[in-house]
Amino acid sequence: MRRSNPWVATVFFIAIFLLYTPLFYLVLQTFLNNPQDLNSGFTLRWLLKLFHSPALWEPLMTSLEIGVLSASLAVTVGTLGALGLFEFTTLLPTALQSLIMLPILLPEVITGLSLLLFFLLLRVELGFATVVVAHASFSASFVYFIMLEQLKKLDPQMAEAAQDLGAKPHQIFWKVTLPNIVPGIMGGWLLAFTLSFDDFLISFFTSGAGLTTLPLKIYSLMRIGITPELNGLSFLMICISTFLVLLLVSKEQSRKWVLKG
Amino acid sequence: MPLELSGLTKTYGKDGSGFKLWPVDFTIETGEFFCLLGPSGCGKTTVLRLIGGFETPTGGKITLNQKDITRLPPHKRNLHTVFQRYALFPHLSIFENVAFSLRLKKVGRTEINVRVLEALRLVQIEDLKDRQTHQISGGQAQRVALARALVDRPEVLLLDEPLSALDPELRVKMREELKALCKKVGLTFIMVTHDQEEALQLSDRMAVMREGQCLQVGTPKTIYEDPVDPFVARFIGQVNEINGELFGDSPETYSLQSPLGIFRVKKNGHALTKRLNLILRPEKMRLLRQRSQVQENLIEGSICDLTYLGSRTEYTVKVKDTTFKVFEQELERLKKRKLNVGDNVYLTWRTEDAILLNTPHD
Repeated sequence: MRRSNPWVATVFFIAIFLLYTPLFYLVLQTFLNNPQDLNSGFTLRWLLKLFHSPALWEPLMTSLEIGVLSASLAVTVGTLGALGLFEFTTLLPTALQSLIMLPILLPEVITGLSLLLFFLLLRVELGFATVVVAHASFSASFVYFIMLEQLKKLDPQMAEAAQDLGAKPHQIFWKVTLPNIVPGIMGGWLLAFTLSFDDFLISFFTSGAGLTTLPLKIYSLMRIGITPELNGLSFLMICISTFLVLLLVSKEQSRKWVLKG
Repeated sequence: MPLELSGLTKTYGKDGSGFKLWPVDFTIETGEFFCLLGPSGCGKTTVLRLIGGFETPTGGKITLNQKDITRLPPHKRNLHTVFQRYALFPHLSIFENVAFSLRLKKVGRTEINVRVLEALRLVQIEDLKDRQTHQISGGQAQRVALARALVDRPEVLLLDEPLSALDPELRVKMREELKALCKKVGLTFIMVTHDQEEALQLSDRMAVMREGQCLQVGTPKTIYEDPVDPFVARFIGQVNEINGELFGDSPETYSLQSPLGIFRVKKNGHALTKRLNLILRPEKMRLLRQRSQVQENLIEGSICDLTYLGSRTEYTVKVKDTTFKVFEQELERLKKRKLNVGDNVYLTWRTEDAILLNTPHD
């Protein structure tokens, strides 16, 4: 076993502390009678008030719709890309491989700005559709890498076995390849959805005047002043994101069990 | 329905710099258990993949039952492969794995049921039909792969080292079952293996391959007792070799001159050149304690190692710079005085048991 270094542990706990204290404070404020006063007692008032603010419901629905559509689009593009390029990955020059990774590495401001300029160039009216496309375009590269990993785990002889047993190329895909990459597709979809649901910068650039997603709404409310409802809303977003991440992790975990079994 | 390979070749790499399969010619009869035997990289798997349709030949022809199948894609060939690591479909149950080809052919529900169960019964795993692929052992996966390949009654079954992933005990058991299965279903089985014992036990006939060339095709008996190439002799069983030159020939025999003496060998019809290898199987050699009445094919040496193996004893005998392996069965134990390491002995063999072959050029 590796000897544990006390410094590593210390730094780790400081990092965790720095990461989670602000979040914890935000959640705490949601439940305080007077968010500015730690001794004011607990209440569910702000959370309940949130459910009576129709102004927040519309952005939430918009965010969910955009999330579902962009995740589906990203999964389609990313999966097809991975399927198409999988056999050539060893042949592709490294430069081209990193090009696919670029959207992950680029600062989001740049991605957002370039997408905005691109949409303007095409004279597309900014709004719901542009946000969906923009989100899908950057989550697709995440999906691509998830699917590539998934495909690497597949037994290459499986497709040959299917063909050998009489399957035509399209039957190999629908009856053998696809059912075996479903875990990756679901994981990729959840990740893409989370990315879209949490995204602020790219939505900010590509949403135009009329459309407001949840993160955009939080931002605009904050400019008026931080209200307790805002805390509640943030709490809700943390819950949704955490739930999705847990779903992802548990999927991964159950797959490992199946493989071990 | 014989399977004929004529002038089948395959070259990898654009300029022919890669692996090359030299023209392969042989006919595999219906119902025959045929083994492709050779060390790894000899091209045996390439031949199997060419027959299966997973590779396109550079030249030559494959005909199955007089029908040219050289350019047909795998899904249009009426033959199935059992893959080395079985390649079962993990998203399907055992039953559905076996039913796969029948479902593709849109066979009716009741018939699928009957035929899948029949195939599972054939390999004795009927009770596993509802399991998932991760719930069965390697040996069972092997049987599922066999059932899956047999269920829609192909003309030929191709087996790619099917036993190599099993543990030794199971491997020996499966050999017997495979052989029985082949005779029972009456299909042509073509199996790739690098295990000479497996090939000897299973084959009706076999092809021995090396470096992309098919060296010899024949029954196990022919291959063992009348090899055409020193490599074949060395690959199947064990051999002792004496290098020498052709010294003379009489109507019945050749004589070979070597550093160990002059030996006579019965003529066997091979065209001989000057440089020759005399091949002697360890179990066909005898050890004598004293120079006996035998005058020819006799060499003197000393025992440098012996291993008692129950049914036989293996002796290592040193003669000048050469060592010989001799296997003696202990039938005459009582008559013979015990031999020890360091003892002086005479080696002898019958003239007709020696095999004389040309020394390969390489």
